[in-house]
Amino acid sequence: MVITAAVRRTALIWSLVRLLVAAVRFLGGLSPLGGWKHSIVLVFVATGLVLYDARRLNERVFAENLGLSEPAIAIVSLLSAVLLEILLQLARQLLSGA
Amino acid sequence: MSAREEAVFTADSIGVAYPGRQILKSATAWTHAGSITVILGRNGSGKTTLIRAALGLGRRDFGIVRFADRAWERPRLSAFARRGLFYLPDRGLLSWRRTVDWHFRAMRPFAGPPLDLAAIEELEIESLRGRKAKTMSGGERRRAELALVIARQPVCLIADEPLAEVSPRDRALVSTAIRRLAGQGCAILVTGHEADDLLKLADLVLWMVGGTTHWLGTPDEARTHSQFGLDYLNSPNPRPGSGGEATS
Repeated sequence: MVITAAVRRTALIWSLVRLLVAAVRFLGGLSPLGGWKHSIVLVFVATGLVLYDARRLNERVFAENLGLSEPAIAIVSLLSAVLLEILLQLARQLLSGA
Repeated sequence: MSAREEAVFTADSIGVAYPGRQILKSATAWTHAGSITVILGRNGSGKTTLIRAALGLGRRDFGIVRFADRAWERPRLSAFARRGLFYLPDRGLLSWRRTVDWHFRAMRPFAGPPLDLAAIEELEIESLRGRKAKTMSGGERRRAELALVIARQPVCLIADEPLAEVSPRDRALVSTAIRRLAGQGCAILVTGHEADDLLKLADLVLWMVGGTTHWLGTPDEARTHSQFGLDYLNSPNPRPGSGGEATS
């Protein structure tokens, strides 16, 4: 459940960051989604926010008491964010190619 | 029982310094299976710093930790937890926006033996199971946290101020639960300021002062320690007792 919670939190925070950045880029006259380089930065930002949120909500020590280290949770979050970005970029390429 | 060699958990000669301030010069704490070691000391003496350094959660400049038949130069709570240690921090273990039941469910896949749920009744938290931590009082949270600890059946518990901000009635419940856990063989290390309750609970007392720890012996020996009585218990007429033995 802790892992599931980390994945869900990553999905939520990644979505929020994505929406915010897309809105700013759209208002600035740029493509809302951006390219692959843009994705890499966003993935790390989202992962950092996930870890910050876990600490803010007291979940770090609880997870460590279960034997889950913070790096392990960071890797889960990072992989989740990477997967979401890949799916998004693939969807963009499919739609633009169609 | 004071022989450190037989201890389940030992934080040995821990030193912590920040620029311009040495918090721990060389502090040592240990606990045995089935025994409760209590660390007492004034506010700011470094009790929490010692625990956090020993568990890899805070700065540690030197010192070593022994746990699970191994010396750890780089202690990590997650590695200790996989070997049966549980850390109850001073500022809450529960996640603010999760229910108590969520924590029990989250713990189940990681627990070795089946969860011991007797503590739910013992600590009177049945009615709290569906509530989020942020809606609970300090005492309710403490009872729920301890129920989680007991459910996990750790071989070693490090509890930082488990009786802080807890009413006398809840303090009795928490103390009884900690004693029961020790009775099952768990090695327990506790800090706090509730001297009367903690001295009743303790098998061994350590006094933290001046950046180091002093072994005071049993609670009765601690109560009769003249310097401890004056400097910590603020006892107006301390009885002359043993001089205490510096551990580090």
